[in-house]
Amino acid sequence: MSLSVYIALPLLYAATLLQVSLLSRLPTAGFFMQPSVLIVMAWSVHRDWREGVIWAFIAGFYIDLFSVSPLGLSSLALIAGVMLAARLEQILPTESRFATPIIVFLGMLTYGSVNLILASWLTPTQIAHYGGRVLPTALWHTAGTVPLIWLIDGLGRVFTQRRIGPRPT
Amino acid sequence: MNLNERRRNLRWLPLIIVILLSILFMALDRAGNLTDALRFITEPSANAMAWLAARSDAFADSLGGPRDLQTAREQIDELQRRIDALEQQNRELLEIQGEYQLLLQLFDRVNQAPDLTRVIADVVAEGPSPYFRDIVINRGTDDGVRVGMPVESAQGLVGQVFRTTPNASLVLLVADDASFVPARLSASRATGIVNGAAAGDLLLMDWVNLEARINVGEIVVTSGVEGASPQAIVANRFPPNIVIGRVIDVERSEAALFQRAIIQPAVNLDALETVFVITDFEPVDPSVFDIEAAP
Repeated sequence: MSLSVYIALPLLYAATLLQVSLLSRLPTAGFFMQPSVLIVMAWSVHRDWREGVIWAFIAGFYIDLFSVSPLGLSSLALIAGVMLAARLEQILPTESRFATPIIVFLGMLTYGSVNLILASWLTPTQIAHYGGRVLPTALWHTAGTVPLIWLIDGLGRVFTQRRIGPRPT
Repeated sequence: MNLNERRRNLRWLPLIIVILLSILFMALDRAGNLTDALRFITEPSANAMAWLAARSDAFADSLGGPRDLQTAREQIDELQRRIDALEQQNRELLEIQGEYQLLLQLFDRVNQAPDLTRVIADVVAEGPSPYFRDIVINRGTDDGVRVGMPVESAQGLVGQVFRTTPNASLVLLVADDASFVPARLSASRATGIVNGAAAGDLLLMDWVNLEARINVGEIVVTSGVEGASPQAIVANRFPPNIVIGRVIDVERSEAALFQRAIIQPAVNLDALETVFVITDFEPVDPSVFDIEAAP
């Protein structure tokens, strides 16, 4: 298991806490944003799926901990989203500029759909009631995740260049 | 099995482990066996949420009032600064007046039903899932709050305690799909079950007898009858006569066995600040209905 899990534990906890305490009180014009989900998807696309599923499990755990949803439900949904995104990365030509937004969007759409289906299966939540939220939330999450991936990629390049660059004489 | 095959199989190990763990957590949580085990996370979280909520209010206020900020920048002379100071003072006074009004309403509510024991609580957070309607309050088992206890505000019913920690509780709002409240119409006296399954913030009152004449504008209150819906994820025990909302529409079909009322909740569930947890009340004894039903 990668050491990144030690970053994921406090980072995703802080992101979830930020969402429930701060973002819920700000005017969001009806948009729903889950920072921990953005972080997980960005990290999964940047790194490989094995780290992604562990991050997804941790983020889902925190989300369910602060919600009435059964513990583990969001983890499973997020794992499904991450796995689909990982599979699409293998299929789609990643050099295309549209590949990343499409991969993230479909991953987010899978996360939202699986989350709602499991919620309707395990609790009295009705798909008809919340179904309309899945698509806008996936789009909104995609808009937040793609810049995050570029940021992580950019930072990764900076640090990699520093590490392999020639030592100053 | 050679080394390569074993390595290939090990690649799927993290996925298998996290899926199994998720399913295990789900099963344990549904059985109610995880609440105590997770206290080491939920307790400090509640303190952190309360701290953040106190700071986020000021931050949200500053975002909500850019016009005041713009004005403040333009005001450069002493007189204008004095006006600013007075406006600020005025705002503070209005805020104090608002809090006073809220406390007055809460006080009135306590006087209306003095037989109910209540714990006053502040709303410190909202749930992170887009598919559930829930809030976090800053009172928990240390304050006598238990799972299933009804939560109300000065205006009416808010929901029911779903999960508790020593210093905080998660409240399932009445507008959630998973909320089922036994209810009664104040004028026609017909009973039914109020559920949050309507679109938006509206509620549905189902299982209302077809013979009942429901009037638009009629007030809906809790009936106090216990255990009316097996679908409920917490036992639905509510004291009688807590206002839930007002009928805004009626769906009636002669082909159906029951009619349905659309309810506007009495409480603005998106702007909750202070709530009451009803910690003790006498539930209606449903055994009298059994006697009446007997031949």
